[in-house]
Amino acid sequence: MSLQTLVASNNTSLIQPGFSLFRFGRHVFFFGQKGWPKRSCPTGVFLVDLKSNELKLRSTTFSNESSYLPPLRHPAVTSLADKSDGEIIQYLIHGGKTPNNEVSQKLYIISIASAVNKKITLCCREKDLEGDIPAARYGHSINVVHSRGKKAVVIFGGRSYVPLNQRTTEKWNSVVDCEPYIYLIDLQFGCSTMHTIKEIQDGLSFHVSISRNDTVYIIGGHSLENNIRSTNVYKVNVDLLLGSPAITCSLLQSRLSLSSSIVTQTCPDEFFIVGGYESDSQKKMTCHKVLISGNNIDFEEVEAPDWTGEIKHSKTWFGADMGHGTVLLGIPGDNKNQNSDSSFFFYLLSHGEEDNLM
Amino acid sequence: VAFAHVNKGGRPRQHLLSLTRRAQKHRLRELKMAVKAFADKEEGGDVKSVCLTLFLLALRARNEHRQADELEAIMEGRGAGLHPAVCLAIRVNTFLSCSQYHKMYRTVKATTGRQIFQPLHALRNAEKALLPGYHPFEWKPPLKNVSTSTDVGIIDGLSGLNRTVDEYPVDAISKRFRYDSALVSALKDMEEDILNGLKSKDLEEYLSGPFTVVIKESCDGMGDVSEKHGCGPPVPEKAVRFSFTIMNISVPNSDKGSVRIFEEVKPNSELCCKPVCLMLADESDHETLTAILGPLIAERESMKSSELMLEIGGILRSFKFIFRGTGYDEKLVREVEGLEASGSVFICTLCDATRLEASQNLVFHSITRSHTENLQRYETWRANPYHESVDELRDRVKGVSAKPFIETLPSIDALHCDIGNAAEFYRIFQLEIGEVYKNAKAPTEERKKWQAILDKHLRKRMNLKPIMRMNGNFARKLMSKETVEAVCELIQSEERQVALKELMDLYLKMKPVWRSSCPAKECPELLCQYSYHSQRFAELLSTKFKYRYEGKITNYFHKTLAHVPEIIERDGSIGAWASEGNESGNKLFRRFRKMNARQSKTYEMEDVLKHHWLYTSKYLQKFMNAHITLKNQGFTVDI
Ligand SMILES: [Zn+2]
Repeated sequence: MSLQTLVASNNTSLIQPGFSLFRFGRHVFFFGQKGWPKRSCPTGVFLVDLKSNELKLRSTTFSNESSYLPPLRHPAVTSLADKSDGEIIQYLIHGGKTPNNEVSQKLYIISIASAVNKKITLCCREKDLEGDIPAARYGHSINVVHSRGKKAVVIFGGRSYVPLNQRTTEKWNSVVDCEPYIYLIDLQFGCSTMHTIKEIQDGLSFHVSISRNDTVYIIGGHSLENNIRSTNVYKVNVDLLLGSPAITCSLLQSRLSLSSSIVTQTCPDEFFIVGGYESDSQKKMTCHKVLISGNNIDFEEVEAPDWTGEIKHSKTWFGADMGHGTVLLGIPGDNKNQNSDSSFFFYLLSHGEEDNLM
Repeated sequence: VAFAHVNKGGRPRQHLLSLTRRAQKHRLRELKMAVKAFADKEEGGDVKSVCLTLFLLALRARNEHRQADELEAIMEGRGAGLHPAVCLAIRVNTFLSCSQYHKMYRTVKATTGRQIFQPLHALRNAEKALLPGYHPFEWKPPLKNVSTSTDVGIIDGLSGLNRTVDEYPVDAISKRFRYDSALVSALKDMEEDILNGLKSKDLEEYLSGPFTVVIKESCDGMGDVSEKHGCGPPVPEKAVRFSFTIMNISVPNSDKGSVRIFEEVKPNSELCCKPVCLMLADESDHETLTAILGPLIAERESMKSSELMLEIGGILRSFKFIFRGTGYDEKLVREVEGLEASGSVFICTLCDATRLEASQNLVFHSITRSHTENLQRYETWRANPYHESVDELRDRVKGVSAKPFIETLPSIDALHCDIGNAAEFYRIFQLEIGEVYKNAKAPTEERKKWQAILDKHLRKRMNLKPIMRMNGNFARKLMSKETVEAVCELIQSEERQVALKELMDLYLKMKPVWRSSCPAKECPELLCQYSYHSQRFAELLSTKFKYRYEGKITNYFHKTLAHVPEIIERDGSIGAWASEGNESGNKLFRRFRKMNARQSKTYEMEDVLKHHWLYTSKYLQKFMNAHITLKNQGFTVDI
């Protein structure tokens, strides 16, 4: 693992905790800006430009078919790859908090609309859902599973505001864990079903989720109600039978206590988990390799990079997966008065070989 | 003796306190005789002592100890000292800290041998009754999503926000009152004014309500409020305050529609602009601003569809509220209503005109924007239902590309209009000095030179020191006949002098119309001539000052020329609805923070909010004024 310090310039003051990154081929896009989009970039989605350690965000445009989705903090995000070549063709974005602190329950799909001589136009469509749809939430997970030649979307966990009939203004901003149900969505028809899993009793948020074929592994996370970061790993199997799908869950142990960690994929069966927190007062400074083989999931601690002094001393950090084993990390700057473009310091954490980005 | 509840003739029985003295005498006749008989038998005929004691016991039984203490003091003949409310008023108005007050109290007591000032605990008791959370009340129907407990004082403005490491970080500190209990406290504070208002309109018989209360809401950032002391680098501390002013109270009247029983005479004074929510946060930090103001706005939305039941003058009465958010500057209106920032081609917060449209038609525009429509337009923007390009979509929604979260009333903020227009005149002066009308292309250095010439001349002739940013005081002095005459000394062409003087003359004839609290009374003629003046002003801009206004117009010139008559027709005034009270509250914030607050981030906002609230108490102001009057007449001690 190697760590590079980035110099923040154009538009990086829009980066904030809870942001997301999408990678289409060689291009990485930033989503989840601070505040509402301004005239300079009405889409709120930016192309990430990383040249000679300088971090810049460039505005992007949407195609005419697009919805102008609000910036969302801590949405659930996952990619959808093309069947033939494995290239990512779509990103699914569910939930998240808007700049007005409303929690969204919408599902958006982002894809590349056109890429003509370096000018990329994105397409963002709102996907209508019906049936038992997951309520508005953030800090949850979304994954895609494949079974019997079909695919389905799995949504799990997250937080939301206290239900409206119990919500009072003096505690207007307090949140609760969502019920630990599993939602399955058929992307073709937008049809959503809800499934209760007896193995999962507590609500869970800011966990890590990894999907492989017909299985989603739900790792770590924080339960608000009892304030614990359990070491449980839930292995959720989805069998997309004709008629009603069958979901089974088995409980495994990882010995890892984590929340808000970032997961990045390097090979089809290999993932890395970095960042996040071990406890309320402890960042998770260790890095773990996750290997999935057949029916097994293995966690292996790998050598952490040389964390800078600033990172070590910072109480909080945040980031997002950039794809290909790379993660963009941020920590609060020491002083908001500095004349820098941003109130955060940024780092690029890459696995293994120097990945020539962009 | 048995006091049967007699209700002769089946007429509804009126409340004792609402009766005339004659009727009261009549109703209490039997009781009075019984008391007299008791006093004669048991207390040697001292009816007064029996009644006073009964009154005292009744007050204590209802926990009205403040009044009971006063009564006791009168009974014991120690009324010579100052009323605790006077002491509190003195303390709040002179920004004395607790320890400073205590020192003064001790010194006066030691030197005079009398307890003229009341001890701190007496002041604390006095302030309790003046702060929100003291008086019980009820809403019918109960407020949606608002707790029914009424003894709610200062609460945390973050309203239960989760601050654990995984959550979005909010480092703001905020304290607030619950909006409904703040309104109750404000109404109780002016109980006497309400009762006097009823009396003066011969409406003493009007008991139950509904009373309609019109509220002006203001919100503004206070800029950098950091204290310039201590070590380390200065960190900018931004603060924001949300406040309200009770503008008027009216009751329905069969023939006239409604009768005003209270009207704020100084609606732009900091003395009636009551703080509800304080935060150490940047107003342009949208995530933090909405997290803190969200619950307050939820309370306001609930109150719109409910009636307050509150005892005024010992009788339970009902109140309805009308909220009018006019005390916002344009920047904040755009921020909270989801409009693009001020530089946008959609130049107006009242109508859909683009800068070009507004410059081609300077005068005729009507108010079309509204909060509800802004919400619909945002949804159109988000969903893009007609699959349009970004430019087509933007034109469809007229620049509403963020979701609004506070309902404001489309209006003109007179203070900022004044400042904005003065800034524009200041620029016109420079351009006239540089004779831009005949030579539009001048390099930046040239333009800087004109500004230097203007600044120097204004300093010499008008004693106006150059400033970094236009403010109210500078604007007032700049926009005058004397100033334009001084500026004309720097202008060669007589024709240009005439044009500039006419422009200022017209402006000065328009300004009172949107500045005064009641133009129909204060400047009826100018009000009648407003359209005429604004048209002539527009004509001048598009002819003599074409070099600047061809295809362009400033936001405030547009509002001044196009929207003033319609708003005055709607509201009766623009000036009364300005944000000045809130603005002048900013210096209070700094003083309270420095003088009266504990030196701790968590407590200081609480202390500032409490002191600021007390500062706006009409009850205390009355005591203070009475005290000053007495003092001036030599009846009481000096402080
Ligand atoms: Zn307009």
